Amino acid sequence: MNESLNAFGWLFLTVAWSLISLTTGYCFWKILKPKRSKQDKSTERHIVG
Amino acid sequence: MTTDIREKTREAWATRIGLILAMAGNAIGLGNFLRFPVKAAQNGGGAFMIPYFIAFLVLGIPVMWVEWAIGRHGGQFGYGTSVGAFGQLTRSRRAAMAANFIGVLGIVVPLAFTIYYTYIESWTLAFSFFSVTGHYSAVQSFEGMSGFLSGFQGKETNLYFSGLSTALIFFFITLLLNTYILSKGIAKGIERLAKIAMPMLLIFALILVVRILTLGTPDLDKPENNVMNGFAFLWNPDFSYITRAGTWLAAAGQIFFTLSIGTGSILTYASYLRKKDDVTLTGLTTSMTNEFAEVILGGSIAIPAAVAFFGLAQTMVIAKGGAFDLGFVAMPVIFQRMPFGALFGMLWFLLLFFAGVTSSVALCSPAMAFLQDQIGLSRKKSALAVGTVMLLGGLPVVFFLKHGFLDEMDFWAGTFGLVIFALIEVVLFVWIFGIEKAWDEIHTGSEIRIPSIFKFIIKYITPIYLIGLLIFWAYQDGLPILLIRNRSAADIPYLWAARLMILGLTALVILLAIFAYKKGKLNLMTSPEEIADE
Repeated sequence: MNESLNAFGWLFLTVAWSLISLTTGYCFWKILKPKRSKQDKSTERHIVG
Repeated sequence: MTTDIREKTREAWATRIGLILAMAGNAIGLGNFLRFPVKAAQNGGGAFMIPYFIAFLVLGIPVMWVEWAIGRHGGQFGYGTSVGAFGQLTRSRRAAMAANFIGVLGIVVPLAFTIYYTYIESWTLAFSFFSVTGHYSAVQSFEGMSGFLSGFQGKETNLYFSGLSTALIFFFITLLLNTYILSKGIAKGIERLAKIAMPMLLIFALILVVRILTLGTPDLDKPENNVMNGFAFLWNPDFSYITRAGTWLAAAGQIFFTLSIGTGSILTYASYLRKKDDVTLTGLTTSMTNEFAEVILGGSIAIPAAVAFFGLAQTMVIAKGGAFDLGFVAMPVIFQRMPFGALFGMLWFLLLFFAGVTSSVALCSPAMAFLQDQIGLSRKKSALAVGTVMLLGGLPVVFFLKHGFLDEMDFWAGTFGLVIFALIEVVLFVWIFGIEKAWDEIHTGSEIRIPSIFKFIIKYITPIYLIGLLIFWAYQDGLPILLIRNRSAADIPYLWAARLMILGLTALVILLAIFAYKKGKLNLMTSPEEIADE
């Protein structure tokens, strides 16, 4: 009845928490990362060229 | 006329992060912190997470993208609700008219939902006040707190409450706050609220999680009552539940409830987007934020705390009693047994209040958008009208709670209504509008490419899943509730009154839709050919 967190419990908890944290983090990173403007890109091409 | 509608200036979100917080606020509600842990604990613990995540992938995420895309598409034609937005998905005037009248559900369901939801939200405000002022500080037992809650709800008269006056005061305050926020509009009302409430909610939740995690074993005489055993109760899988239909139904129901899909509120919020605004990444972000709040934060507060203080056996009884027993009875007792319990109790109920108010204003937004865009009322008058309907509809909920009035509304609006509306959305978007156009519409302005397997899932799996869900619910709960079985004779008139109220709301919105048609605010120039010719 009063069993502690078993191997399956740890597995489910770790997988669920990791998947949710990583995906949430990725989504926010993708939204909040600074976007390069067209001007930046054209300058970059110019320098490379 | 169509041009007039398109040219009419609608409100817009001020910032993208504001939109994400508002959408996340719409999704993160009382269900994240109260309903999820109870459902998980009742349905096999860790094993519940398998149907839960499957429902999230094949039901939650697809319906959410569909609702975002329908909303943004309808918004380009000046429509902020399914009345209007649905018509734009059809190919003929007659089909548009039919779709728009079916779309009435997209206003009635969230409005009926918010009527009783706002009342529950007012309990959280009241209990945060009680916590600070020490109103229930003398109540130290689960049974005593149960009596305190019953007295507050008017189910009984006891030494704590002699009537419903306290509950009514907090209900009015909550209604006024909701009406005020709605009257301020999208950017200055709902978005500003989200920017304040969501960070606060996150901070309060993190403080509570840390406090619960550091509880250890509160009673050294009962070493088995500890936080880790609480996590074990929630996460150790009982695989026998996987084969039970009830577990899959509970998981799908929880996904609906938690993501606020099928309420029409996502559709309305998305209607304030521009044509090229992304919906894929933004939609996914709000859903994942909701999951973070539900599984990680929501799963780490109430159940682990209950096991640590009450032990596993009593926590199982509490979980069977439902979310209110856990949130409003067990938690106040737990906080009273902690140092600085009044402070933590206040944080807990304010956390629930912030979660509630960001959801209730979202649920009111379809009615607000309809009154403003199609009936032509000003924002303030629309807010006043919605507030009045909530007040008039809410009073029977307050007075007849003990007769099952709230439960009856919850079943028809908050359970059945959501699934039916979501099914209509998916069928219209994928099968009437067409999967290729739907796929292109979802990806317009998209910042991520959705894996193409989701095209198959949205077209076939999601509608089949929804139909299966409806059939099971109709068989399991629908028939007994429809025929009012196992209820006392004294309750039956109140249950019929709840149904009549929902039917009355439906009739009112249909009449308003007819009025909008006659005024030319629901134009039927919907076919692609007509729009191209224009």
